[in-house]
Amino acid sequence: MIHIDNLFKSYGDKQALAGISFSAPPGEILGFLGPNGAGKSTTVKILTGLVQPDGGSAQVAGFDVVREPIEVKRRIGYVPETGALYESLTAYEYLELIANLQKLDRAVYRKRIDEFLGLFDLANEARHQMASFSKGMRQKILISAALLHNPPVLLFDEPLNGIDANSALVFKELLRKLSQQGKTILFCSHVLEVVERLCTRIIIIDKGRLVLEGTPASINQRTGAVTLEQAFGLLTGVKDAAAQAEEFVQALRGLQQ
Amino acid sequence: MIRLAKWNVDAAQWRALVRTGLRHDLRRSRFLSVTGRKSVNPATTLIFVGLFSLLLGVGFASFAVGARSLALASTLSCSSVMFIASSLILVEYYAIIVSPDDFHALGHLPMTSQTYFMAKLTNLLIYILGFSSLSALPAAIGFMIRPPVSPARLGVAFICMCMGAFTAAMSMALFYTALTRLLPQRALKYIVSIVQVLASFLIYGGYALLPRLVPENWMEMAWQPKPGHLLIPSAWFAGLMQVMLGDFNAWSVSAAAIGIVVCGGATFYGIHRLAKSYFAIIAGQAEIPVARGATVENGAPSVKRVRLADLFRQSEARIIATLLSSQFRNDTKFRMAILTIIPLIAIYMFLAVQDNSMHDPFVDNDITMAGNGLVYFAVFLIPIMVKQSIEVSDSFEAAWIFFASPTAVHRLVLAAKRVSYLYFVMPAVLLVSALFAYFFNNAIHAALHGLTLAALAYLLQQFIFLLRPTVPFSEPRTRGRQGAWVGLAFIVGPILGLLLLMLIAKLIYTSPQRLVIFYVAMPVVCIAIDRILRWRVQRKFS
Repeated sequence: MIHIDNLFKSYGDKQALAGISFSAPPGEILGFLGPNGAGKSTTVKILTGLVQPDGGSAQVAGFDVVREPIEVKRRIGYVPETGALYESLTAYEYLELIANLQKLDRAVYRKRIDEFLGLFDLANEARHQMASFSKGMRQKILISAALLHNPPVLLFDEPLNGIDANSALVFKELLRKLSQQGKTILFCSHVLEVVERLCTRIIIIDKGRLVLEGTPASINQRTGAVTLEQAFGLLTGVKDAAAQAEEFVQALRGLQQ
Repeated sequence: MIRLAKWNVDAAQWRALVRTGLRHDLRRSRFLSVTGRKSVNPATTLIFVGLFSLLLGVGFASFAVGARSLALASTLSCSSVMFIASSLILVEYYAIIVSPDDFHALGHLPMTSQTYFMAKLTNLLIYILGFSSLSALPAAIGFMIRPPVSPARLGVAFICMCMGAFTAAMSMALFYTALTRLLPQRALKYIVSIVQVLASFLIYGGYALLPRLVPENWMEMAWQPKPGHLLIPSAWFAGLMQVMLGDFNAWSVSAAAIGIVVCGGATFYGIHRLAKSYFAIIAGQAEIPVARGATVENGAPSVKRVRLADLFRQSEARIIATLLSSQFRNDTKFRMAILTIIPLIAIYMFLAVQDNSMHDPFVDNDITMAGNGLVYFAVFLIPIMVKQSIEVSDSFEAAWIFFASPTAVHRLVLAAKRVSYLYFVMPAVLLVSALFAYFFNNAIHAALHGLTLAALAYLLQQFIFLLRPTVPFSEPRTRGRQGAWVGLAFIVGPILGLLLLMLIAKLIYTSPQRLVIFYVAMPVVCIAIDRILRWRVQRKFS
């Protein structure tokens, strides 16, 4: 469903992706991890057609992201990291816009919007402008928008940002059920405990290169770590966390003096 | 709708996008700014710009009614309406198409580049043609009632003027979009800035110089256009008007043909060439900040840069100075707004110098002082236009930091007043004082008059801050806002420039005693208003 081959991308002098390759078959929840600036969001943006790659190829549901972007966009649901949406619209109007752009039938999308807003406890807020929404409420709208046209591929960039514990629980269960239905899910997150429990396979990238891939258990085994968090630190060159925190405290002491 | 499909535009998606774009623009009033207050209502600003356009149109009607020559009347009217359309694009509306603010929210959705482009273009044309037609309507009525009265002329004149406005708006929007397509991304920022200044010179300069091409007895003369006039875009639509009114001659037919070809050509180029690559152009634009960040990161500064912000002792003034500099470097919309001011000022000064009509008001206080008026007008435009530019930002939400830190917010507002005066108003006043010194042949008179101008500009700025005390860059951009402020500047500027300074010259400069009282009273008034402003700002932000 997702196939990336030797993908390159540079922003000016900075290389964001340096020949990354991986695949994700139907029914897989693929955890996509990396430190800040590793190239995760660039990869996702290439898959959504927001950014053009400099080299290599990427396919979604059998369509090339550069040559057939519209076909790709019809088959993906995307929750962006930035949470960009039209804040001046009401929740209902925004979802209606997305439904129109996805060319859904009016009767279908009206029923679906009502259902989604109900499931996320937003039925009473449907006619309110999203400018007054909390971060979590906006995130729920973005997730609803991504699922509205029932796409076979879902790209989630930090989808749990700001979402309350109960909704997060529902969302994680929802992901499991969607993967059981055969949907491919690319899940980017910095919450490693969630990734470890939710994802069937994990890819770790750093400086635009693939560092390691495998199941959570196999990654822990290969790095000799007990948790994914430890393994991630070892693979991406993070210094000893305690030592780094101590350095911060020392710097603060220096400021106080 | 069949045509839209032929152009690879999905009609349903286009409708949804246009509807959403307009809803978004009109509802931004309900946006809460960081301060928790409602921002300026865009409906109010749009109504203001509409009324201002209508008012200008009433002025343009005088060309239609007054000029004996139909060719001259139609050329002047078309010029005026095309000026409205071009200056609106220049001041504000280019951003709809060049840097759409919804690409990050919509870019991943399945629509063609052509659909997105057409939606943006429609959005832009709704505003431009709306305001232009408000200007064109009174002028068209003027054409109808010019003897012999002819109702048919109303429709013909209106259509031709609107076609002119459409061509001007379309050509400018496409020109800016084509630039972003053709230029290398790294150079884009600088080249677009230069183009903005040049375009401002061309539009404002062209409009300011056009009356000079027309003789003083324009109302009575039987003006015959020459082949050289075919180079003036408004003449093409004036020619079209003449042809549609049955006045066939070599000039009018040639002009009409050029007008139709350019209008059609711009539309064809937009739909067939630019629309196809529009998505890629905008996607490339979205990558620029990342690329720029990468360049800064990689290039280690070897020499310590001298920063203007370091000149200020107060930390709030340093914050504002740093903000202004960095916004100018990195925020294209802010930079373009500021750069548009330069040609306006330069043109008015040039006109005053060219006429050799700058008079020493201490000597010639009876004359109308037309040249002086132009220069005063230019100086008074600056505080108004700068104030509106420093209120808004696309990243207005970042202003939360001022309210969450121990900074005294009211001091930031006052610092914004001081810093913007020093950065923008003072250089203009110094330049104008130098002009005074050259023309007056009396350095003391030039210095005193420069001082009066500096004090009045300062007072004007204080009044603007008193009316709208806002934290810099803390409000969202709303449609029509910049145009409304420019309109306001064009109303307030002449009143202050022509009336107030003329009165000062007449009543104050003629008596040494009054002059002494004036120069003693001015700082007192400035300080008093500063106290009132301080009190108001403190009350608002504490």
